Amino acid sequence: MYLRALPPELIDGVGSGAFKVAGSIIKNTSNGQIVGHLQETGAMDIVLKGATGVATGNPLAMADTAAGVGTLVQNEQIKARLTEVQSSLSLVQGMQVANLAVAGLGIGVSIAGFALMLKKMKGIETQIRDIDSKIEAVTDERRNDELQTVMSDIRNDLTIVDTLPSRKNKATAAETAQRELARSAGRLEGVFRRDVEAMERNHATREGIERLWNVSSMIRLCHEAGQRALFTIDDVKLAAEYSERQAESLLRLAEGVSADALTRSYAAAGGSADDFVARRADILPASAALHKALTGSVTAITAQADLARRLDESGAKGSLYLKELDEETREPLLFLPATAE
Amino acid sequence: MGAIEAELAVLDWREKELSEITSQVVDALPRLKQDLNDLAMAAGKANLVVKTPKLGRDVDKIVAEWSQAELQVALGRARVDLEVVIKSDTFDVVRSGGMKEDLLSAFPALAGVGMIGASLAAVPALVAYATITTTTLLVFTTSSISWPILGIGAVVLGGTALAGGKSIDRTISKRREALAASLEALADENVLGIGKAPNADCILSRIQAAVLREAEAIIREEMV
Repeated sequence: MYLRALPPELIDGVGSGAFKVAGSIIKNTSNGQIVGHLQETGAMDIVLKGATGVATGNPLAMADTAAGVGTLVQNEQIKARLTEVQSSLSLVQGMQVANLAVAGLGIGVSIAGFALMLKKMKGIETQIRDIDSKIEAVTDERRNDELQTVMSDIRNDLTIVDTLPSRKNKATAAETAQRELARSAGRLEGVFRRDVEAMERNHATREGIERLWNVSSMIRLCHEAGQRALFTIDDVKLAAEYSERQAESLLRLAEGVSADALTRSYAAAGGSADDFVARRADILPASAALHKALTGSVTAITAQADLARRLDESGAKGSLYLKELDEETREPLLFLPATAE
Repeated sequence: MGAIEAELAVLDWREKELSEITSQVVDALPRLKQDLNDLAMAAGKANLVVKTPKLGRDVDKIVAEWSQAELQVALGRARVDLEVVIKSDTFDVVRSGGMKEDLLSAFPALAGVGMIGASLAAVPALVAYATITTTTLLVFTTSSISWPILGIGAVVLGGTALAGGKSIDRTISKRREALAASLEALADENVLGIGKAPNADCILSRIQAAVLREAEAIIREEMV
C-alpha cells in the first residue's frame, strides 16, 4: 500500500494556512518543504456525482453534453460544491482545476478510464466539427485536415492503451503508444500556436477561443493517456521525465497566449469604445477560463512529475499504484507522504 | 519544479496586469475624449475653415499627458503586485536553487505576447530598473502612434467667413462638431486599436509593453 487516508491535521493545516496545496502537492508554508501528495481515487467519481447531481456518473461523460467553455464554468461550480461535500475535499478549494471533464480533478495520476477517454475524445471531435461549421471562412491557417488526422491518430493510440492488459508485449505497445501520443500532443501544440497567431492578425472569435480550449483539452488527454500507459508497465521513471517535459511544453504554450490579448482582439472588432466594453465583458470569462485551464494543467502535470519521481525513488510499482486508485471506493482523496515512514 | 512555479507566478502576474491595464485605460478613455472635445470646442475659427486644422501640437500634449498619467498608474500597480511575487517562497527557491537562468531565459517568451509585439518593439529594452525614466519608456506623439493628420476637409467661405454671420456660424458650428467627432474616433482607434488589426500599435499596447519591459528589468535585477 502506497497511499493512506488524509491525516486530519493536514486538512486542518491547509485550512489554517500552515500547509498549502499546489496541484497535488502539499507544502509546508513556513519552509516550503513538500509534505506529500494528494491523489484522487475511483471514489471521486461517486462524490462528483453526488456533489453535482449530474446523472452521467463520471466527469468525462459530462463533457459530451457541455461545450468547452461551458464545461469550464461547470468545473468552477462543481469545485465550489465539492467543498461542501466532505471536509477533505475542502483542500481542492482555490485549486486551479483544469479540464475537469478530461482528467477528473487532475489531482495526482489521472483516474480516468480509457473507455471514458475515448468517449471524451469523440465529444471533442464533435465539438470541433461543430465549431468549424460555424466559422464561415475556414482559412488555410486553420489546417483542419491536419487536426482531423491528429485526432484520428490519438483515437487509435487510446485504443492501443485501452487494450494493453490483454496484449502479449505490453511494454513495447505501451512505449509506442506513449511516444505517438506525445508526438500528437506536439502537433496539437502547433495547431494551437497557429490559431493564436491567426487571432493576433485577424480578430478573435468566440468559436476560435472555444477551439483553442478543445485543442488544449486534447493535449492534456494525450498526456494523461501516455502517463497512464507508462504507469501500467511500471516505468514511473519515464513517466516522471515525460511529465516534466510536458509541463515545460504546456508552459511555453501558455506563455504565448494571453487572455487579455484574445479578449482585446475580440473586443476591438466592434465599431466603438462602447462596443469594445460590451464585447470585452462578453468574452472575458471564456478567455480567462482558457488561461486558467492551461496554467492549471501545467501545475497539475508538474505535480504529477514530482509524484512519479517520488514513487520511482521509493521503488514503487506504477501498476500497483493504479490498482490502489481503482479499488478505492470510499475515500475520494488519499495521501502519499513525501517520505516513507 | 521551482523554476516552473516561478514562471507560472510571473505568468499569472502578467495576465492580471494586462487585464487591469485594459480595464484602467477603458475607464479613463472618456476623460481623454472630454479633453479632446474641449480642444475642439475651443478651436479658433481659422482652424475650422482650413483643410487640416493646426491642432497637432495641442492634441499631442493632451494625449501625451493622459498617456503618461495612465502609464504611471499602471506601473505603480504592477510594481506593487510584482513585489509580492518576487518576495514569495517560490522565488526564494529559484534564487537559492541555481535556477535563476531558467527563469531569466524564459522571460522573453513571458513578455512576448504576440499581439503587443509591435508596441514592445517601440519600447526600448531596459538594461536595468534604475535606467527607467518616463522619457525612455514612452514617447507619445501624434506621429509616433500614427495619429492621422486631422483632416476635416476645406470649406469655401466668402470674404466674410471670419467676420461672422448666421450662416457662417452654422457652418463653423458643424465643422466644430465634425472636428470633435473626428478626434473622438481617433481616440478610439489610437488608444484601443478599434478599426485596426489586433496586433497594430496603439497606446493601450504601449502601456502594457512598458509594464512588461519594466517587470523584466526588475526581475533581472532581483536575480543578480
